[in-house]
Amino acid sequence: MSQTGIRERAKSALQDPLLQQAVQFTTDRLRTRKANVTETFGRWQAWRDRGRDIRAHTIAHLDFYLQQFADNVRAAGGHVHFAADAEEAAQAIVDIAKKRRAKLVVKSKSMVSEEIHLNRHLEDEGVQVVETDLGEYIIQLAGETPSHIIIPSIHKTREQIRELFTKAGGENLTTDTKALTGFARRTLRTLFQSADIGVTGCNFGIAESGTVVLFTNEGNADMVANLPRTHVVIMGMERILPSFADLEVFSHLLPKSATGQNVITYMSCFTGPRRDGEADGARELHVVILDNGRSRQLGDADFQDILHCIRCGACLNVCPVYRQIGGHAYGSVYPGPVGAVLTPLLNPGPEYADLPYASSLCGACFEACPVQIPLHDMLVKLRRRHVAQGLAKRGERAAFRGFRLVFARAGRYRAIIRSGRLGQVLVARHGGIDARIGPLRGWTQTRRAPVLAKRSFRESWPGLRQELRQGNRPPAAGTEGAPAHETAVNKE
Amino acid sequence: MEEQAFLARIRERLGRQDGAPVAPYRRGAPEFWTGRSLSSADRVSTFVERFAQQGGQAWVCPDLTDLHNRLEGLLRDLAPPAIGVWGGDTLKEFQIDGLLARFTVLRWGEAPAKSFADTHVGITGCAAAIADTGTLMMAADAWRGRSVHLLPTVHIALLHARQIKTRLGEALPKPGERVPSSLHFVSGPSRSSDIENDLSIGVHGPAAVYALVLAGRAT
Repeated sequence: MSQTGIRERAKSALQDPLLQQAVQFTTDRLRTRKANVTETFGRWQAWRDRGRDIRAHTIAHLDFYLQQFADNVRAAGGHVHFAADAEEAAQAIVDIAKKRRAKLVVKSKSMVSEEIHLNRHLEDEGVQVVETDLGEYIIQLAGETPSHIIIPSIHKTREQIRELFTKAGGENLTTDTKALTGFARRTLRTLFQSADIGVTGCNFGIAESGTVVLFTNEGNADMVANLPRTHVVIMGMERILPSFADLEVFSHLLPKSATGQNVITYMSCFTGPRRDGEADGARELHVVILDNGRSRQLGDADFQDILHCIRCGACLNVCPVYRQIGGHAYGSVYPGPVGAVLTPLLNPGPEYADLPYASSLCGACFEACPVQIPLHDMLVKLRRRHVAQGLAKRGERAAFRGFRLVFARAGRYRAIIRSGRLGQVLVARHGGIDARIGPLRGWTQTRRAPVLAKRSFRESWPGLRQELRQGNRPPAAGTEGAPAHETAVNKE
Repeated sequence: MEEQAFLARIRERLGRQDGAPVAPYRRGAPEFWTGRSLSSADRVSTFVERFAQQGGQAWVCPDLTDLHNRLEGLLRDLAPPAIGVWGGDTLKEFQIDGLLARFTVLRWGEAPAKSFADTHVGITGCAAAIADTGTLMMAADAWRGRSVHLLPTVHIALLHARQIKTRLGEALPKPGERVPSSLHFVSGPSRSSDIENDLSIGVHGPAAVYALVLAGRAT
C-alpha cells in the first residue's frame, strides 16, 4: 500500500496547515470530552481494570468463545464463514454478492472491510458500493481513505464537502451543516431501500448468544443491517465478548474513550436474521470471521495483548505524533499508536517496519487505553524485532555497535568523552551544536544539541563522594549544594 | 478456511487442548456498579434528566389523561402526514386509538413494512429503559417492527415508570434467556460530527426522540 516511508508522508502532512489544524482541533476536542466524562463517571481505573481482565480472559480462551459464538450464530439462523486471510474474506463476500446477484451494496463503517479492500473486490465484480457513515460517504466521494478511525473525514472542510455533494447531484447546496447532512440523508435513504446487501463491521460478538453488537451515532448501521435483504457482518476474530454482562462494561468504556460520550446513541444487537412473523430486518445473515495475521499474535507474550484492542481511537487523540501528522501519514488502515503496532504485526516485513519509529515513546497511548494495552512497550519490542531481523539501517547498526564498544569499558568511555570535548570546539556555538553533519544530523536537523559539559558527572564524582562522606550536613543543604556546584563547573 | 482448522490454529497458538475447561473470570461490571440501587422515584427522575442530556425529551405523566394531552400536543405541533405505530395489543394499555383517529395511521403487522418509509412520526412502546444513560430499549417481534422507530423523523416512545431500570445490565438478556432478533438501544436523536466537528442531528435516524413516562400502575 505504501510507496514511501512514514518520514516522507509525515513531511507532506506537516506542510498542510489546514490538515494539521483540523487534526489538532478534533483530537483536542475528543480528548477533553473524554477527560470530562470519565471524571464525572468516576472510578475510571476500576473500569479499565475490569475491561482489561475481560479482554485478556476472552483472548486467552478465544478458541472456546469463537466456537460458542459461531454455534450460536447458526442456532439463531445465521451463516458463519471463517477466513484465514484478507483474500478469503473478500472472496466469501463476493460469493454472497454473486449468489444474490447484487448490484448495490450499502456499508456502514468497518475498519476490517478497509483491511481486506472489500470495496475494490466488489467493484471489480461490477457491484456498486456506497459508504453510508456521513464521514465515510464524504471521503468515498473524494476518492480518499479515512484519516481517523472514529471521525474519518476530519481533514475535509465544509466547502470541500459542498463541492463533493454538488458533484454527487446536490442542487443549490450551502455550506450549512444542516443543508449538507440533509442532502446526505435524502440521498442515502433511497440507496438503503434499493440495496441488495448491507455490510457492517462488528464492535462485539457475544459468545453466549451469537449476537452481533454495533455501536453508532448516526443510525446508518441500523439501516444497513435492517433494510436490505441480506446482512453481511465482517469481523476480526478477536472481537468476541463472552456474555451480555460483559457488554455492560464495554458499553461504558467504548463511547467514553472514543468520543467522550457518556453513552452511544445507538447500540444494536442482532441475533440471527428476522424470525417467523417479523416483517423487517434482514432475511439472511452472514458473519465473516477474519484471522489475517491475528492468530500469529496469540501465544506471543510480547504482543498477544494487542488483540484486546476495542478500536476506540483514544490512543490517536493523545499521541503527540498523530496529532502532528494525522492518519494518512501512517500509510496503513490503522493509524496512530495502535496502527504503529498492529500494522507491522499483521504485515511483517520491510513495508511497515518504520511505523514503530513514529513515536516518542511517551506512553500517553497506554494511559489513554481503556483496556491498558502497553502500546509504548510494544513499540520498543517491535523496534528490537526489526533490528534482530536485520531490518535496521546500516548506519544505525554501526552506531549501536560503536555505542556498545564505548560503553562496555569505562576506559573507552572516558577516552571518547575527552576526545569529544576537544573535537566539539569545531562545531559548538554559544553552548550548543547546530551543525548538521555526520551522525549528529539525526538530532540537529530539528533541534539543538547541547555541548558536552566541561566536567562530566563521573569526573566530579570523587569530589562529590568526599562531600557526602563528610556527611554532617542536613539533606536540604546537600540538595542546594549540588546545583551550586554544577553552576560553578559550568562557569569554568 | 475450514472452521475446525481455523479454530485449531488458535488453540495451538494458545497452547490449549481441545475441550480444555475455561478458567473462571470476573464477569460483567464491577461490584460497586452492580451493587447500586436507585429508588423508583430516583430512577424516573434520573432517566428524564439523562434522556434530556442526550438531546431527547421525556415527561412524566401522572395519569393517562395527562399522557394523552402530551401526545396530542406533540402531534398537533408536528402535524405528521402519516404516523407509524406498533401493531396488535402492544400499546393497548396506553389507549391512544381514539386520539390517533384523526391521523393517517399505519399499524405494524397490518400495513406493508415498506410503507413505513413514508411515516413522519413513529409511536412505540419499549422493552425497558435505563436511568443511568437515558436509554430506551426496543425488542423486535412480529408486532414490534424495527422500522417504526428507525425510519421516521420523530420517534415517540410510551412507557411505564416501572419499566425504568437503574443500569444497562438489568435490561440485557440473562444467560440462557431467549434473545430477540433485534435489541435496539436508543439514547437520543441521531447525531454526527463528521462535518468540521459541527454537531448535526438526524443524519440517518430520527432527529427528535420523545418519551412519555406513565407514572404509577397500569390501568
